[in-house]
Amino acid sequence: MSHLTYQLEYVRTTFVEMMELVKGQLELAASSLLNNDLEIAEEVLRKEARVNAFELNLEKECENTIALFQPVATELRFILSTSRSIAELERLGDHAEFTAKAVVDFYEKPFSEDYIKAFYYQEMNDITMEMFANVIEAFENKDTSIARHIFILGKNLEKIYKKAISNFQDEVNSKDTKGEQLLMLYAICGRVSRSGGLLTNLAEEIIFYIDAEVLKHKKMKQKMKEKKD
Amino acid sequence: MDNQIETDLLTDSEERIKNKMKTDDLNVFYGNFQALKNINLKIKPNTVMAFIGPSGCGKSTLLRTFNRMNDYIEDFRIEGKILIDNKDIYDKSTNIELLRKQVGMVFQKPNPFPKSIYENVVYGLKIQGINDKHFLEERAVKSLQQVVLWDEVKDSLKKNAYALSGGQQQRLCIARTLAVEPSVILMDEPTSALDPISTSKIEDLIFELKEKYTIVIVTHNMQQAARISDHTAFFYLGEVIESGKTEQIFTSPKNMRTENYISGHFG
Amino acid sequence: MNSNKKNKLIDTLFYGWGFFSTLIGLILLGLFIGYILSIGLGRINFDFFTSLPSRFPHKAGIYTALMGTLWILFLTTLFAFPLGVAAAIYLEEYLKKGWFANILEINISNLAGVPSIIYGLLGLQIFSRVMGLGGNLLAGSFTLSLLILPIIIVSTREAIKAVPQSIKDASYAMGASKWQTIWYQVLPAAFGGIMTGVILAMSRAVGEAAPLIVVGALAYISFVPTSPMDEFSVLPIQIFNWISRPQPGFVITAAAGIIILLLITFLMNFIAIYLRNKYQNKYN
Repeated sequence: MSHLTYQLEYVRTTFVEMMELVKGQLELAASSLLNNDLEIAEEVLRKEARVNAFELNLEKECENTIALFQPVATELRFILSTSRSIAELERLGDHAEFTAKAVVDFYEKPFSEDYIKAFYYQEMNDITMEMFANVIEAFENKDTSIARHIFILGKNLEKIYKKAISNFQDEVNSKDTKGEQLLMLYAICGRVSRSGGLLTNLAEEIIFYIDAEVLKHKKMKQKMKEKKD
Repeated sequence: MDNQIETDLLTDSEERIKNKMKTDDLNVFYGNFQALKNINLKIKPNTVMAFIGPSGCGKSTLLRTFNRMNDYIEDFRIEGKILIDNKDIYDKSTNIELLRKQVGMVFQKPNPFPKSIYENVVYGLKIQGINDKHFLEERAVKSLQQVVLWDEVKDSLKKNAYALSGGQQQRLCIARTLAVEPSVILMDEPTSALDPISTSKIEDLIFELKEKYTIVIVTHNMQQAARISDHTAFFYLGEVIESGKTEQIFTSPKNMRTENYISGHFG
Repeated sequence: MNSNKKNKLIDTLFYGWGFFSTLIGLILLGLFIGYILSIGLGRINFDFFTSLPSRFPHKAGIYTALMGTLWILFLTTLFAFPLGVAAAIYLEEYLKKGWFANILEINISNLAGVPSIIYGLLGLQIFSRVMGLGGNLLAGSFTLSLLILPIIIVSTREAIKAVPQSIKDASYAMGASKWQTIWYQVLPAAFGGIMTGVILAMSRAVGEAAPLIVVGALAYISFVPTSPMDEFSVLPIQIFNWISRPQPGFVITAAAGIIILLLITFLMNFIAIYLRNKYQNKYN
């Protein structure tokens, strides 16, 4: 095996590890909120340091790979897309941290089930988890059709989020508002929506890496089209 | 008393583990010309150290001091120490032939002997007086396998070495060095006379060899140094301008001259 | 005439001149050989080889002279070969380069050009008289050894010089001593060149008459030498002896002897060329 192959393999494996870690963080954060589980929330907060460590390590490795090996073509796209993806993953980790922190802060006065339903929190989370699982699968199997499927899920997420916002607007104007929780849930749901956006970015990066197609700023229709050989 | 001896031994082997090779305030002269100034380098075991820098800046000179090949040059003079396994190799008691068995060398232009492939590989063993045919054959097979040449030549071991291609000849030269089981391998621009494919085969080989050997390589090709070495030392006009981990040298060199050289802005 | 045409003309003239010169050499050689063959070829038969010299041309043979030549060849090579090769190794590999080495090199080359009769005088004084060997095979072969020694030294040095430094470097880098490098790498690699030089030197020795006469080789000998202490004669001397005889029959015998001598010389040269070609270009 050449040194470059060895290095790329290391980056690939570590990147998958980071994805698994961050996905786990988002899952745990959601679970801690739905079950008002303090222990799980604190676990998420502890693990945040690991996410940051992964980011720093992988960033350095990507830099080294370019400096030492001058990769080209697919290998270059791999390093570039991975480097950008790392930043997105770190932000996803931040969203999980935000949610976990909210759970800790609101432990004594947890969010009501009605509110959680109103914000479609469970549904939104399920979709983002499905998106994340697809991202990991698409990356590991180098399968761009799975990646393109993520865009559809993203659209669904947006629709649900719109409904959640509309419910929020209703609740704001009602008489028995529990203001603090309402606003916090609103922020948390906003984060979930943005997570969806980040996961869509990850899908675009994968397609860039494998198909050399740049989907940034393109319309949905174009994104769905499979690249012709 | 016993404790004292044990402590000394421990320090020795600690040193050995720390640094396979070391130069202490090394200065090298050819007559009045000073080829190397105040070289203080440490080379750790089982790593690849690359010497880079413009032509004529002392890289090859330093490499050749490690196996005392400079001894053959008139007016060669040395000040300071060179330690391998914590022993000064320029000490009067050094057995030069033994040193060269522990420190092998591969040259820029492949230079196999005008003999058969087999004779080339076992030469180093024969001159030590080893004549056991079985032993020699075993070693020959092992060495040729290590350099990924065995499959290509196993049916033609009696053929003259010059029938091989340039890349194969160079691998043969590496094999004959490995046959005497050195602990250090010195390489003086080993791929500069070869085509890109042979070059990359040998680079892969070096990457694998460092598991068992300590390798010092002089190269004009900076990208090669970046690809295969763990540590890099940048030479200019006989001095080491900067040395350190290869990733550090190539991502954030400390010295401006180093940066200029590796960016290709030199000269 | 423009320069292009001029160059073509010069080319043609040069080619013609070279061709003509070669032709002259070949023609002269052909004439000579043809002449000798026409005179002496008929005389060569089994008897010619096995007969002793005699006062009668039809009875005379080269047996003793041929044996003497072979003896001389054998002994001369025995002494000159190891001595010459060893000296060349010392001069090329061990002696420090400098003014002394240069002077030695020049003088040895000069020795190769010294007229052979001088060697004869040297041999006469040292070997025949001082060492008391008289005119025997030892004295003759010692003398001829001195004669061909410079040739062997020079050609061996050239052969050693032709061995690439890279091969010596490789040998030293593997921990071989100087002597091991010389014995296992340099000499085998220089072998072809050394052999060529030795054989050419031997073929020179085969044709020498003057120094051997001075040293005391006999012109007329009726016994075959059986030990190095015996007296002897050689083919060139025998031929010279026959030519000096008045009887016309001896012209034919002399011609026959010349043919044999030429054959020996040609044979040695062929071997030299064969060896040179066989061992050439091993480094490429």
